[in-house]
Amino acid sequence: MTIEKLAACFKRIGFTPDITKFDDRLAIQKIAYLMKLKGADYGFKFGLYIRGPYSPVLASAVYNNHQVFSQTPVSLDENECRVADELKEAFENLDPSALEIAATYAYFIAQGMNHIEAYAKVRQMKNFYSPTLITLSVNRAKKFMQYATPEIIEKMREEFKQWESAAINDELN
Amino acid sequence: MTEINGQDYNKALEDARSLNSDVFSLTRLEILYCLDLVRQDGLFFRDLKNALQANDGLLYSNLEALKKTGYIASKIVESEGQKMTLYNITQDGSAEWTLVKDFLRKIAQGEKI
Repeated sequence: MTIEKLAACFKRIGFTPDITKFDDRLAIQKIAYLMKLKGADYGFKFGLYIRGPYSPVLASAVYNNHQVFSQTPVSLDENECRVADELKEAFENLDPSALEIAATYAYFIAQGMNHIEAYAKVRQMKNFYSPTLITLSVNRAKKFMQYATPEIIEKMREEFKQWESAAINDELN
Repeated sequence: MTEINGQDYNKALEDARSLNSDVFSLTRLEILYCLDLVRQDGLFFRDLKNALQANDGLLYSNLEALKKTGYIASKIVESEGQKMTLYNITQDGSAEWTLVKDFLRKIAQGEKI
């Protein structure tokens, strides 16, 4: 897992996280998830938590390696640069709430829901956000995801299946 | 793997609602369950309210009770320009939640306690 690569992506989009801030920690999780969906995969496995897609392993990595965000970034390949640029274009100000809504919507789409189902589920889960904000954020997600290939989405579905099986086994044991 | 997959959190809470909360404090178990999932990152009051589908009074009184035990802590943080109350599970709370889970698992498996 390369938190250094993720840090370099953040640098490229002009995001310097302060991990003492809740909003920045939230944004780290959602940006990492959205970038993974587009193929910039740094090995962090995500599940659906109360605030949307979340990786406990990434959370620990962020806490244990927070100095990486202020260091000289490692280099990114062409695909990573493209994904980072597309994310910046879709989410401009990187508002945490917009990222949270977009990542949650993207999660449901990656799980195989159609737009109507995913939108309804997000509205239900995030009913403390205004319908306008949800709609705008979902549109940003759709814009960002328009280039996600079926292969990437299929790969993520497989990953989620394994994740679910492991969780079920854990519960049974 | 000690974390339950987030995909199941909705179902876990739905299942929990079928239990009789007069027998034990279901709301407190749900709070500990939710906060343990995100550990140091914590959750806002509104997140817990939405996830647990609890009213303000019920949620607040149970959060306060858990704070008194030292199992959770709260602090005011700023999020997108608003001051919000963020709740976190403490180390003691996480340890207690592990004991509760082990206890319930043993009961479910029919073991002698």
